Amino acid sequence: MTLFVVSLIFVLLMALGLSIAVSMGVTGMVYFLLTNGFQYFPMVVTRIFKGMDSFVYICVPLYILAGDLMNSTGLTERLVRWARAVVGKLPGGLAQAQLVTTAVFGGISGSALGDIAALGTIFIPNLQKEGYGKDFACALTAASAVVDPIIPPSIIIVIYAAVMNTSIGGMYAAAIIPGLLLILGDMVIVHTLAKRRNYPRRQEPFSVKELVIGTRDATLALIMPFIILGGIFMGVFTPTEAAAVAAAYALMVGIFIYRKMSLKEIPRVLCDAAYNSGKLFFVIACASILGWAFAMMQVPQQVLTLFSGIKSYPWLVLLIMNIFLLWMGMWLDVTANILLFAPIMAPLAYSIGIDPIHFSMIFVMNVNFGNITPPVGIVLFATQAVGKVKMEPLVRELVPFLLVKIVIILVITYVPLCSLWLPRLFGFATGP
Amino acid sequence: MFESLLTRVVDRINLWAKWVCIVVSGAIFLLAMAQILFRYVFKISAPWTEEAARFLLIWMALLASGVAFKNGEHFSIDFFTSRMGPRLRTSVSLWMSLISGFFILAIILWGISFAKLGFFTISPGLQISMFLPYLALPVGGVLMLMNLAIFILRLMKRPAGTEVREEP
Repeated sequence: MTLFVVSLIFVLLMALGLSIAVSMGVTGMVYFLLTNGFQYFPMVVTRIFKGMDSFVYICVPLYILAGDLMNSTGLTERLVRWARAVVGKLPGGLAQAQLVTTAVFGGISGSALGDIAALGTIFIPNLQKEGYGKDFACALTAASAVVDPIIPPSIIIVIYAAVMNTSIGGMYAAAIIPGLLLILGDMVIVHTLAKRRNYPRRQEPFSVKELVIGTRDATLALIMPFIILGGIFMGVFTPTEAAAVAAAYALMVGIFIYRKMSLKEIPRVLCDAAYNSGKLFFVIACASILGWAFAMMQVPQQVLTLFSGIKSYPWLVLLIMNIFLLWMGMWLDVTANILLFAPIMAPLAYSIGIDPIHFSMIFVMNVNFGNITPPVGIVLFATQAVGKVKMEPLVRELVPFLLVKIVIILVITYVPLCSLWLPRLFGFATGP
Repeated sequence: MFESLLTRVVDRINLWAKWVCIVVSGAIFLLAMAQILFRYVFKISAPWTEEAARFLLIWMALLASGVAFKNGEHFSIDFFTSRMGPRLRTSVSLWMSLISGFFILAIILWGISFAKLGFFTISPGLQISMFLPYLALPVGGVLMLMNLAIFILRLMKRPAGTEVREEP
């Protein structure tokens, strides 16, 4: 009953346009106010501090900084040019190149809402200029904005690891195969659509010379993921240190090799990183108030009891979990979803023998793709605003991308090896 | 008159906050690099680097999210509000801002007692009073409240339905 009232308040506040962070904070406070008066308030406010106080989170501003630096030093630009040289000859060359770029370097801002604003303003006009339909351009951007956070080095994975105490390295290793599958799935869709609709491909013939030059130009950008992931997997750096090294690397390349960045720009880049991570951390901080309220209401235990009847059918429990998480993803930002629901759903998953790393992949994928699932999907609305398109045609263009993602979720869910093979290979402990 | 004065004061404070954020995020970066240096070059572990980065991060996050209140930039869902009429939308936005105000007020009030509580606790790594990191809550809260006040004032002054957001 209390749970129902609390959820209702939360949904209502959010629907009325109160920021997601404050909605969660206020709802948590209202719960404690209704049950215990002001007695718990000192602890409630403490949660804001404790919610952010984790050494894992130090990665977040550093990865944002590294991403920002890659963009402003011209590393990303070279990456796109390289991708065009490699896949530009395929039907729908530019769209394919966009997907390949995403595959090499994942999310920038740690929030799909932020990514869509950053990516959308670059990619949508570019695609339109080459004669792609506006709706298709928007759909493709939305579809890749939700794949970004799966691909390492991802900030969403850092947040999940901080909340659920899983290993970041293990999760990064686990995310590689699903990430590649997702990109491949999107590329197949683009290929089929481009062929049917005669989307432009590059006119110039495929030249080995251009590929060599492009690859040489982009080498410095292409080794970035290897520095980060290699360093983590081999145990040279902690994930935090890897993030700092990535930022330092991008800075050095930008200043000394490409000479595109001047020292004067550094304050702006640092400020952007602080600002973007600040907004993200406010969500994290406020979510830990509501998360604590859920814990006090014993929601995780209630969920366990609720499912105790069908526990002998793990496939059914997994299916219900998938549907629930996808549905929650429609309404809530990924970060908020992780903080609120990972602690609730994980005990259930562990109790039916799902590996924590395997579950983390199922969780992250579902809440991400929920963001573009009609009829609500919050990223859908952001895309609509950025690209100035109508909802219906956008959804129609998006459906194939979404379907292929759902198929991949099911594969990852029911074939544990897809997400567990690499972590085991790299020696990350994968036991409950 | 009052509004323009307040805006000027808050803008000045925001500028300071911005510079603090710039220095702090630079410091976090340098601390992470220092960690590598300590381990591989000097062969010692320096636990204080991690603790310092953690505390700086909290200060940075609260200051930055304070500034973000000025233009209502925190992530929100405008699915329903964007479908409302201009007058209704303004008044709903006003009420929601007031709720935010109460929330921030709670952060400030209990944040002050939280900070006082930490006065005699010494942090294990840096050996400083926990008052310093805890102080981020009330200070960040005051910054949020000031920026929210500007947002509300602008909301009331604008003709109904016009966008309050402006380019920073």
